[in-house]
Amino acid sequence: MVLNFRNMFEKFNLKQPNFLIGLLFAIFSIQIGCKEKAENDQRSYLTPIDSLNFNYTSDSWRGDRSDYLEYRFGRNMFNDSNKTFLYISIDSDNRLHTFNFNTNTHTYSKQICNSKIDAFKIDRSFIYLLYDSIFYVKDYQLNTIDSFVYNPPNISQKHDIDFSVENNSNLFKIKDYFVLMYYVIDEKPDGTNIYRNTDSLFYYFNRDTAFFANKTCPEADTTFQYFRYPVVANDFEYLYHTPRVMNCISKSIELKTLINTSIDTLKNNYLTLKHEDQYEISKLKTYRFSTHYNRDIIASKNYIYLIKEIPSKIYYVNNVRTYDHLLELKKFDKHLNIINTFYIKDKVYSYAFIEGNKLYLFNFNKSKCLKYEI
Amino acid sequence: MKFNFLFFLLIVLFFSCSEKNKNIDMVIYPEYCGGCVSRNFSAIKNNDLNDKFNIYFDSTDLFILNESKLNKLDFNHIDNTDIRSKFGDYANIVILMLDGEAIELKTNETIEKGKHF
Repeated sequence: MVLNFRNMFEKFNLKQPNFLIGLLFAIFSIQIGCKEKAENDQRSYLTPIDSLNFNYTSDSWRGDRSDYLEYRFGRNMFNDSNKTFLYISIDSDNRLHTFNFNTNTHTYSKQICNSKIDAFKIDRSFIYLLYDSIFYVKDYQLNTIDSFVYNPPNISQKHDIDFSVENNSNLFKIKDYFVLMYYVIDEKPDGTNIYRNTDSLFYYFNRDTAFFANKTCPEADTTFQYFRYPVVANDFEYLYHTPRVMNCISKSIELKTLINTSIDTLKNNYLTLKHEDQYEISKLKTYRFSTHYNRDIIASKNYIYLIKEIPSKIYYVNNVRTYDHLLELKKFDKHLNIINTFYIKDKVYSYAFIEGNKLYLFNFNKSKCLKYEI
Repeated sequence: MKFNFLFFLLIVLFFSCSEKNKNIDMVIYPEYCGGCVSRNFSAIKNNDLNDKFNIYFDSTDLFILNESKLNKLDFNHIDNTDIRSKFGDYANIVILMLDGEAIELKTNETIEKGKHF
């Protein structure tokens, strides 16, 4: 052993000072590299435990795009009794559309109506629709189970029912009430318009009554919200909601907002945008890609999950600012106390579904679903 | 002979001058607002400004291609992946003057002589 070491010593010319300096430099570099790696590895990343391949654009597909038009008003996903995923939505021709992930087939109903559908919600049993100022409850065969005349709010400014392509629905159900959001337009003397949420965020209604209620976090009243439509989910008793870009999550019932609490301990992860900068797409792009962004809330039986898109790395390629993002999944109890935080490296998904302790991220463009344990 | 040469020179000068009028680059970036493209292409057509601009965009984008055809505009193809390295890191519709000044049109703006070029 001693002999071998001496041979090596002579072979590599360890007596030479240049070699020793080089060796020391190499050791130093490796240490720095290890330190950086350790810093990057502070996040615990989830890795998929399983995957599902499907063919979303099979021959039965009649749509134009899989990522936008189909869920303008609402969509939902279920696991049926055969453990087959079904994706239900209304397409831009007002047809009820179902995709079966097992058979890879799309089925389409007849046209529900010729009018513009103002609000839409789907659950396991029924479809809830608002059009032509009538609220309808229909079954999956589109038979009307119940209907009543919708009582709209009395708002003096220009206004309309709000929706976001990023939310799964623009209609929610809490106990005996259905819930909508409205936007109003503030017309400024300089000719610009400011689109904003109503002062009370939600409009509750049923056959007998209708009223506005609930506030989001106080800082929403004093800051401009470019991404106006908050992320909203309900668990039949409560609404859980957060502005897209704000360090705040809330829990509400029809009477009042029960909880307003912070999402992150660090305050500056969520950036603000000046109203005048909304007209410059390069500034909007920088803002959207540099800030933390609340994308989805999923309410399960015992927990609330918030999915955020966060920038993980900002760097330059040929003098062009480039962004890498990842998903941050925060698990809250029903009192909105944080229980755990997970990270997922692949940020692109079309629909997030949680069942038990399993998270399914469906990517319709890639026809692939990744399954994670949370 | 001398007269012919002078005549030829004048023709060359005339054409080179008319080419020089088209000295402003207009670049449509991958992150554009559809309404902005429609509105500004219409403005170029309605104000006979096509001779002023070298319009660049990725012609695989059918929306921009159709808008340019609708307004009978000449254009130059450039891949979206090359736009930033060639013209700089902007978004939407960018007007690049000869002196290197770049003006990114806001989403509530329409191209206007005297203001943007």
